[in-house]
Amino acid sequence: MATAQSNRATVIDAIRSALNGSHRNGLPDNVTPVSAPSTEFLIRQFIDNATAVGSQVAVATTPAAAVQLVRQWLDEAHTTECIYVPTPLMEKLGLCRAAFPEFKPLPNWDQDAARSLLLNAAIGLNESTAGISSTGTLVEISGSDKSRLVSLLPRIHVSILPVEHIYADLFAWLNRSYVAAGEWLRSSMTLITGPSRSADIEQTLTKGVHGPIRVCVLLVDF
Amino acid sequence: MQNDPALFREASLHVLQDASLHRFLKSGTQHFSDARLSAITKIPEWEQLRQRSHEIRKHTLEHLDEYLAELESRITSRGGHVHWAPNANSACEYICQVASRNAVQVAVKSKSTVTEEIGLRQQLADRGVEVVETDMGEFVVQLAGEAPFHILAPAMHKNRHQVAELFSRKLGVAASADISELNQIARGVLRDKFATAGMGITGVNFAVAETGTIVILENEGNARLCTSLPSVHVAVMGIEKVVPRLTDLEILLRMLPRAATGQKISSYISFLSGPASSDEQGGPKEFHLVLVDNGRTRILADEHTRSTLYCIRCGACANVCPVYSNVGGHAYGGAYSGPIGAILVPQLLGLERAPDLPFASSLCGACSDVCPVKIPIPEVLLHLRRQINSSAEIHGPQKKRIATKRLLMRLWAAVMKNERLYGLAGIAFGRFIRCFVRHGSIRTAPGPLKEWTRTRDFPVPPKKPFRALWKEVQ
Repeated sequence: MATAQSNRATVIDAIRSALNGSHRNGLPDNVTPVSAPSTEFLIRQFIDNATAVGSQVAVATTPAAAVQLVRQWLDEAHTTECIYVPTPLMEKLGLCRAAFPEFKPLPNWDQDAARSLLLNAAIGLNESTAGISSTGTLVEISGSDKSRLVSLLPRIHVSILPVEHIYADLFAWLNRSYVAAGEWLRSSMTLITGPSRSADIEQTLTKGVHGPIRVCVLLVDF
Repeated sequence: MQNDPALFREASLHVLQDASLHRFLKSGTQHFSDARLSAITKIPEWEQLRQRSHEIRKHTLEHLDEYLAELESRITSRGGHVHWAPNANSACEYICQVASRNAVQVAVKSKSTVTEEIGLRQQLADRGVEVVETDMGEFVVQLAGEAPFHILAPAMHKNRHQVAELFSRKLGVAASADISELNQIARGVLRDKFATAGMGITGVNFAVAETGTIVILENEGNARLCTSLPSVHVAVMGIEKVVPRLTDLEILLRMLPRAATGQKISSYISFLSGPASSDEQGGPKEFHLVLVDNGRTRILADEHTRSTLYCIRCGACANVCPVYSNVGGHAYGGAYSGPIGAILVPQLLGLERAPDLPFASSLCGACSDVCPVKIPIPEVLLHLRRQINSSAEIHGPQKKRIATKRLLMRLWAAVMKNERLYGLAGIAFGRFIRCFVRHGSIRTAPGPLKEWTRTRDFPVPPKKPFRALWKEVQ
């Protein structure tokens, strides 16, 4: 087999000779205006769009309300196990193991015994990094002690989202996050818009095919 | 089911002669088409976005070597590996070696047409690696031993009863024809595979050169699982899929979901930049990106057909194509079908291996009207037809067809230019064709009309032509 170097050279040379004599134009910038409407508007739009794709959204204006809403969602799921990823905000709200005995910390995927817990837990609860109101989307960024699996394996995904982290559209988010540099360029960023869906059999929509069947978003507004 | 584009003519009869399959195909493509139209009507700036997207793709290809080099450099600086594959064999060989080095027994795979193109699954299977398709539609066609029928809905041609029967036979479960239940059965089977697979294989919708990020759009969540659970992730992409900057990507992300399924955004979009960091729980420890040429540089070299590479694989052209919506994906015999398949497959394989595909079109132009990146498909089709007709390598029957067509076109032009001839020809033809009326319809007709009437009735002309009636009215 050819070496990596020679393969690379083969393809690059083929491209260069294919482009030989072609005029190379510049590319204009994306001049979409960076949208920055009021927080009230963003919240309203986020709720409308998230609901339209099948997510459940609730707004908590006090820590007590936040605890009550999460309690309600857990009760509806009739579960004894909820994988959760603690954050300072969640501690502040009182979303912790003391108040919720069902909360189980994120197990290490590499340990066999832990796989069963992750694969079978009914609920995954985490805090989203940001939200996008034009589509009702949650933004998750990988990081230390976080896992991409919390919002993916369990049947129900509960996301905590502070309203000041809601952006008008993807362009505004990319502009803010990338231009601000560094933070989001972790190994993974996932945009989540509603539950998992498929229409592969007879074009009939089914939810919860591989990912969660239900997405609950708690907007924290205080 | 066949995988030889040279057999297009025969293969295209399959759907036409199967009434229920034909109905499924028509309603499926109509459904996607309606959804697309509904979504873009809500965006007044759609035409400007199409033009921008076209410019982004054009510019990218004109600088392809630079952007691919930038992409590679970003990925490798984050600990990922990039393999440049001049052809299908090189791509498969590399991936097989990655699998072997990691002692992979089971690989989970999300939908990727380029992996169909290079025949990856078979190559891995030959080396003892079980490759499991995890996209629901792909899972179904894999069980059935068939090729995908449509880029967005691989199992569009199967109804729920057929899927239930397939699951019962191949999975050993008692499956009822309930769609929800069928999805749950597949989910359960695939969960096990996800949990134990040593490698995840995905395609790539876009790769951003500026940040070294591959982008995958999906609705089910299987690509997320393929890229989060196994410790090795292999992503395969055609070299043309690179995008210069995040801000250019953002424009294309407005186009793809709408043109494909009529959604504002797909349920999940994954932005993956190299392997998982060491402090992250889970995620792949190894990341490989395979850049596939396999004939694309040859297309790049021809400025008349370079636009073939602009394609972002949305499927909108297939959904509006009168040919595709009547014959389906299998007839094309290649990884790509519909209008884009008609121009891409002959160029990738060589014109002499797929000489009928560029002719599988009425040149109606519906495809170029809906294409989000404005590929002038009819122009490319005409260019390829000219190349085929003047090629020394075309075989006997094709040469005869070209000669016959030329003669008929000359006759037709002569008749259309002369009013009297036109009138006479009309009367003569009407009298001739009425000889073939049986029980009120014309089911078969001779000569050049024989092919036409194989799958449709010819309209019965009235006893008096319009011109005669008009004269009477005057």
